[in-house]
Amino acid sequence: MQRWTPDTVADELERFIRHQFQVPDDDTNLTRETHLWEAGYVDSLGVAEVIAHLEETFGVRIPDEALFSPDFVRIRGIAQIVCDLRAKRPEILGRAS
Amino acid sequence: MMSEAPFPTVSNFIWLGDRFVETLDLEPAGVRRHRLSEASGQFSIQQRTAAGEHVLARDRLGVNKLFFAIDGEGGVHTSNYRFDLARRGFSPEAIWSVPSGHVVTIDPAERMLALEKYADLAFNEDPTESARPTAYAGQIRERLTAVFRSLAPVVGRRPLYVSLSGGLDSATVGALAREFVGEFTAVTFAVDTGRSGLHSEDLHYAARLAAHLGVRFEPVVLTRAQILSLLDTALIYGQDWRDFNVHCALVNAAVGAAIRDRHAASASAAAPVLLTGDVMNELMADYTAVWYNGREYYRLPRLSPGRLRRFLVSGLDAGDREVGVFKHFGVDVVQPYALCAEVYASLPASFIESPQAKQRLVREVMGDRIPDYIYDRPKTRAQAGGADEITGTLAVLADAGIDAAALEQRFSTLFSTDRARMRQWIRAGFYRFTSSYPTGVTHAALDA
Repeated sequence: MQRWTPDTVADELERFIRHQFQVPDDDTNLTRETHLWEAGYVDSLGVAEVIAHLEETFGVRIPDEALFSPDFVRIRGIAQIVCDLRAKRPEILGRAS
Repeated sequence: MMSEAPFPTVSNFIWLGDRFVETLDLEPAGVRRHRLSEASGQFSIQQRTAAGEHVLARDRLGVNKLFFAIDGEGGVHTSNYRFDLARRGFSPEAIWSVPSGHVVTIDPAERMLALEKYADLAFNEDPTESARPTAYAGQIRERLTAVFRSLAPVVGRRPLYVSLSGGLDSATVGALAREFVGEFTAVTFAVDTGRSGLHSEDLHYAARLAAHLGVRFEPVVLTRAQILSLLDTALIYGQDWRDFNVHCALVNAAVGAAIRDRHAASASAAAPVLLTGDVMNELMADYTAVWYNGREYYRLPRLSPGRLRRFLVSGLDAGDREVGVFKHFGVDVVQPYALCAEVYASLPASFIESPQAKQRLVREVMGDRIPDYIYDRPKTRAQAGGADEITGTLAVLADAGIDAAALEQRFSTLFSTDRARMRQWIRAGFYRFTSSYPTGVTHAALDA
């Protein structure tokens, strides 16, 4: 079973964003600290796609309250939110992953 | 200085199982969540508790909007329209939304704000359940019948209108309104094409349906210039700049103005009420992109319909193209499908994604109460005007060079903000909200 840490979640999320929103691999402006919405990497429709991907891949439910969190704008912040949500899941706590 | 005159408020239609009420008592705090969770319908509630707290709550689908701002003295200002608060002098960063299905409690003396979700719509994402409509039709028919029976005493004494597009959703509302409420006036929008009697497919089918139901039919046909003159109204009271909502808000502004004018000439003192088929498309993820002159409009998130509907429904939080626009013209709107959200959400993803899902379901629910030509008609959207020829507000704006960027620019001008800040107002279909007491610039009120 995949062991997810903030870094590996961030890796996976960046891979998804580059693929889904056609960001070239050599676009170095997209970093873990880039404001995804302001920089235009993810538009209003894309947010739904990001949320759906996070939920499917990491087995969490992104709460409405996370949407306007100052962390939910950058890959690093989103990855931390995902890891926090996974840590709160009782079925996750008991597993080796 | 800022005026303290109350803002006009959007009407509540709160359904408590077998009757409609206008408000809920949200005191004491211990019963608040339970009382709200029992209520369906469309509402925005603002109350002041004995302890001085402000309690703000909004219906679970976010049909009614509710914004607030806190001034420098801790005064809490609320309105259904963001524009009202902007006009009162609040900066864009000082204005917050109460998100759908949430209750916000504000205690300015303690500089405390609590955000609590009281209801969540559970979507059935099971891919294995039956895709046969017979399994769900009975429950839906029962719920729709209960809703319309309860609506009858509430709307039956008022001038009643039903927005008919000639499509399945509004046809169902029209047929049930005729059966359980009584007579009404059917209204249908079209752009004047200059071809007498051939303005749109919608008009043709809606007229046939109105005759079938035995109700008065009133086409609302506007020239392109007349439609363009309503753009600022659609933007301000539709509370959105995104084209799919603005195009629809323009349709509703045209219909709202027509009802207002018609009502002004009538002897009735009661405010008119309009029933619409809205929300069904979100509940069944029955949307598609539209192509016009080689450009794609109304693009959707790339998700399967079974997953997409949750985002479409939660996206009702932002945008006020129906209730907000019509209220500006003095017309109350009731969306019966919003009162049936739970039963539609329980439809499994496997059914939602099956071919002709809505047609099969409606046929099972409504049978021959809806004529075959409505079932057989390709799906259209009012802002498109027809399946074969785009003649609606989409074409009017596109042909006038008013694209998505132009709408965004005009909205930012009307709301005295820049486009980059404005884009922070809506995310994933939600208006910007906060889960903590606003600090710094967020509660700085400016004198108007």
